[in-house]
Amino acid sequence: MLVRVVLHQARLLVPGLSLDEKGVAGGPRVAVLFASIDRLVAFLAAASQEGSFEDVLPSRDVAELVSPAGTRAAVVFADAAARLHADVLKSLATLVGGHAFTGASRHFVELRDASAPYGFDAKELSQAPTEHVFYHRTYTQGFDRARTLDLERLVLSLVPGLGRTADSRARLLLAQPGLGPVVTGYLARSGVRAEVASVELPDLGPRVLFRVEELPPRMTRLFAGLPGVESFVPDGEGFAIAEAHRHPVRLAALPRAPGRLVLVRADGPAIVVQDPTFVDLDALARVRLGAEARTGRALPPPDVLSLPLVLVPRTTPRRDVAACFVPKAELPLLRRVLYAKPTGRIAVLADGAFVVSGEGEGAAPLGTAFYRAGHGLFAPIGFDVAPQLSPEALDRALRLPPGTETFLMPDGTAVACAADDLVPVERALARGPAWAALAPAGLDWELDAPLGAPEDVEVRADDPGVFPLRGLDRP
Amino acid sequence: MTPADAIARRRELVVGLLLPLSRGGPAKLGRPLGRGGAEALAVLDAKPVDLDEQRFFHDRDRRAAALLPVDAAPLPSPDEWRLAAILHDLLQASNPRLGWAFGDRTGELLQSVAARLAEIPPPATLGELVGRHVTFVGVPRLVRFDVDVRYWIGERSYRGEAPPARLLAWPKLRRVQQSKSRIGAEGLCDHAGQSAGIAFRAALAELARRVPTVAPALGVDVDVRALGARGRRVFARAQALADSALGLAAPDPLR
Repeated sequence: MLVRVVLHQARLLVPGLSLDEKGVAGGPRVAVLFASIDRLVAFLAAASQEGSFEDVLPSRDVAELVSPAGTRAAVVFADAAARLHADVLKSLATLVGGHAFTGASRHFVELRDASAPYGFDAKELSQAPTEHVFYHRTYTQGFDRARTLDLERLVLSLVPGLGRTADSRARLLLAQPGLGPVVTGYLARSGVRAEVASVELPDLGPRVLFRVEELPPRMTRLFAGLPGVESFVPDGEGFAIAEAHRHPVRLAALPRAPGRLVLVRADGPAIVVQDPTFVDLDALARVRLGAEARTGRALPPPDVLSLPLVLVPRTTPRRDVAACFVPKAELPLLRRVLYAKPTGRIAVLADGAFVVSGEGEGAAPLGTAFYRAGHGLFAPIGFDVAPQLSPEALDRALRLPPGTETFLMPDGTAVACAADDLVPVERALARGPAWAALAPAGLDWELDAPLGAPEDVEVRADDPGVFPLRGLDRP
Repeated sequence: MTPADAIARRRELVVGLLLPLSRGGPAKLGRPLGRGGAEALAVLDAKPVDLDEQRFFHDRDRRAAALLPVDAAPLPSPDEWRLAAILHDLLQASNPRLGWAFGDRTGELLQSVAARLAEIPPPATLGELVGRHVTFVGVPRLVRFDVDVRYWIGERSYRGEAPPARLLAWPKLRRVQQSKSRIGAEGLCDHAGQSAGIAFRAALAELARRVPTVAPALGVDVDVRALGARGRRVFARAQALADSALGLAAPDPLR
């Protein structure tokens, strides 16, 4: 059977085995032998958790073996990249009930374990005429290769089990051809960013495939239960699995194939889609919506749907006073208040004045106080606008032209004034006295003239008048 | 003199004499102001009341800015108004039309001027020095143009006035000859006799001593040591600017 390799052992019997720098015996290949296919699947599932098969099982070769007695087994051959790597494979194999061996091509001896840290060597070589011989502590068995198994096909033939909904919100939607335009319009109207491709599937016929970057949760539930649409959760690059299902093997561990998309369905075989051509959803949706817009016409909103805009009393107080309406009788008091704090804008009407305060400023504590219910809409403090709509919707409902400030009065009426009519309080308060210019034109003209070079001052003999010296030095 | 009269006389003085002193051109003299008129001007508010006075004040500001770093000249002091009235009367004393057959109006007026000048001290502050300079800077440029006309049967002299056209008619036939002469400030009163001429020069020299910056141009010696260091600096700068376009050394603040 097997003998333990000891330290500084000079030669090994099994061909292909060699000693590394630490004296551990091993071959260039590792073989993991399973008594049945389901153990192989369990091993693959466990190995896929360690990483990509390219890393865990380099140069793998999966085969079904048959012994001279007719018993069947499954084996995975792989390169032994390092002893430590071989140890990991052995632990995984032990976990699922398999046996791990090392060797070169034909003879494989059991991998080292705690009882034989330097590995094993065969006591004598088997002369069985089989393709492979496996030397174990409890048996020596020769096998012939019955067939080579395709790892990917093997994995994709597995039926997924139920799982929880994935955290990721990316989805692939496979829709029946008749549902394609409907789903396209629905996603486009909802503002969902997606790409769409038309695919031809074996055994299924034409389908419309949607690749959604981020599907809202409500749509996730919708598409999960929508007949004619299958929802898939991407699992690794090029793989997707049915919504709320999990695959025994982590699909991301499978080797990638550019341009290929594998959809693992819940109740059927996996679908391989080669090179789907995705186009942006908006491109399709825009064309379709444009065609509808040309043939349709705008209808006024039906009265049965609209609700009158009313003010309803509010129980909780608000503090965001943004404007006030001061009746005419209180305008003198308002003037005194505004002289003390001349901020905001004011519009004086026939029966009073509206004072709109600036951002973060309180309004004058007079008259009826208002808060800003919409962009250009003010509602009285103590009332709410019903129905409760967004500011944009309120502006649209009232059909307020831009630059208009509308005040909903407590009696149900509305008063609107142009925003330009609201002048800054400072400007409205100042009223200067009447004044006249002091001949500025002539003065400027004279002052602009240069003085010029020194000139003579000519004294002329003007008439001094009659009795010019009368009262000359009289104080 | 009522305040309204005083304002009117001050405007006459400013427009007729002080503004020409600043800008050049013909001066227009009025009735002598005398002591009463000068005192009436001195008590008025010194601020300008109309556009012409504003021009005069602005010229003062520009000239002051040329002398030292100030935006405005000091407003005229009462003594400055008195000096202006004295200058006006002094020039009027040289008026040939002031003469009177029954007395010596020129001498009487010159006596009045001399007496009033003696009451005015030299500038005591830098502000007064600058203020008087910018007001009386044109005094050295006072001139009068006299015309002597000789014709076939006689000759006439016209001082500060143009000869009548009839006297110049038919110049060849009547052999009319004109002789124009330019009389400087010192000789304005020489025609009135030697004593009047001396008295005029003396009064002008006294006036120049009250306005030290113009004294050198009038040939009058002044004691610059009494001006102080800053005063001497202003004096020197005024002399440096005397022959230039006064006031142009500083930029016009209103341009």
